[in-house]
Amino acid sequence: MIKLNGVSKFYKPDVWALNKVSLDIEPGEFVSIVGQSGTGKSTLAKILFAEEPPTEGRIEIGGWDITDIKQYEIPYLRRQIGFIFQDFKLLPKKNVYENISFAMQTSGISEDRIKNVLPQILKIVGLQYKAGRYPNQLSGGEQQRAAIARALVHQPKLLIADEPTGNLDSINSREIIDLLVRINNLNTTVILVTHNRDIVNSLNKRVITMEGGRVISDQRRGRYIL
Amino acid sequence: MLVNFVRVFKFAFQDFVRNIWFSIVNITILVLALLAINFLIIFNLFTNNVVHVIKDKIDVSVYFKPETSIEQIEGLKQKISSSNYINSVVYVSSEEALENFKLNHKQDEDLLSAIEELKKDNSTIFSPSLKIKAKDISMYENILKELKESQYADMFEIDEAEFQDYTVMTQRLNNISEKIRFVAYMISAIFMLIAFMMVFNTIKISIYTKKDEISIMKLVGATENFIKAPFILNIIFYNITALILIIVIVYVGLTFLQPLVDRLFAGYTVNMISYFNSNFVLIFIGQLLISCIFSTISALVSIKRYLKF
Repeated sequence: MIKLNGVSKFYKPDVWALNKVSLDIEPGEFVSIVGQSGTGKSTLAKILFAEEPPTEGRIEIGGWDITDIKQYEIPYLRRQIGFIFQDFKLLPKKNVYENISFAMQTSGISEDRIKNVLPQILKIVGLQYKAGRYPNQLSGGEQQRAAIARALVHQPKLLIADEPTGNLDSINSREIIDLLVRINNLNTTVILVTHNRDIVNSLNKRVITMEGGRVISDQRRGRYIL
Repeated sequence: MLVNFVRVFKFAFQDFVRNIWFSIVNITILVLALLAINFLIIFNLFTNNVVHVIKDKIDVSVYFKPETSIEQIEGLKQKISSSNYINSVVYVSSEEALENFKLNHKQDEDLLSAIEELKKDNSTIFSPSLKIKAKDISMYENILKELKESQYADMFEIDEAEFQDYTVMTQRLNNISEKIRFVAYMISAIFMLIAFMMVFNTIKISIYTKKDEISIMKLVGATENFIKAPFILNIIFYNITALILIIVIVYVGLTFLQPLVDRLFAGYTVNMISYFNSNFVLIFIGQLLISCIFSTISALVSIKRYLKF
């Protein structure tokens, strides 16, 4: 699914955010990328999402070499990847339904398909009864679920979650992680970038640990080792 | 494709309505710029007609000495008429000249009674003459030269005064209209520049206020053109609205102006409304295209600068 071969990212004047990272992630895997702040986890996520180009190395997603991806190709890559953030990035003047349908509209999905698919996605994330609510009328966990729903509009093969529980309490965090596991069970590869020890340890899934821009540990059934 | 087009149109229209004050300011500036251009068109039309009327009034009169026979005058008339420079040559007899004079001075009773007194002496008051009209104002110099050098030169006197007066008048009119035209061009250019700067800034502010929406659009895989297109379309909406307003303003203005023009050009047909009607596409669609092209360029520069992909 994902192949990284010697990927590095350099920021001026002298920071190597990633330093010769090589990884293989299989389809359907649930991978936690852990490490302390500034170890390159988010940079890795951004490179996978083509938000940043690598300084060196090769990246392949689903057989597509995106190392030198062209600007016009990026939208088509992003339609195959879902991405969620710590700060949800919901539009405050749109309700849940509009936030998700806006995402679907801007990526060219027909109105008929929006009407068919959107209720199903809302059901998956458990927001079918809160579709008319605005972000400020939702709890943090519900806002993150709305963001996950938006990330699922293209039925992506890969879902990248960058610190999705960073702004949530433990109960809401647990709900979000359970939701990501359910999505993973639907055969979507999930990459969870986090430094939440409890969550990682409870998952009992693959854990890649980063430090100083390098992969220092890659365990099939891992734990948070730092 | 059609779905995307409809959505781009919808997003652009939403921006137009949501940022209505921006839209009003932009449209106002565009209207002022187009107004200056249309003033130029009307002004050109007006001065061209004034010059045409003046040129039409210009002629040179050749006044014959009393002893000149009608045959000699006819001979000269034939000769002049054959010239390439000549549009028309009209013979005005002494009697016709007298009647014309009376007609032109019918209010001046003292003058008319003086004329009656002179007539009692059986003297010829007005000489017979030829009124010569050239095909173009520039040809009068040659005509005058030919007349002065002709074998009949000692039979007549040439009255150049009217020709010289009108020539000076035409030159002055041309000079004044050139200056007014220059000022109008400058005003149009300034308004256009302001309009394009406004477009530039509107896009910049619009990108700033929509930065969250834009980042979501990028996040979910909207194409670059899909993100840019509503900004451009919004600018085109401004231009179309400004053009509709300017059409209304111009036609209302012409409706009020036409009676004044009719009075000014009495005896001539100068129909400004029908001029605008018959050149509607060239004038208005031309203006729309030009203003759309320039404001789109301005918008694209702003997008390139402030919308990072």
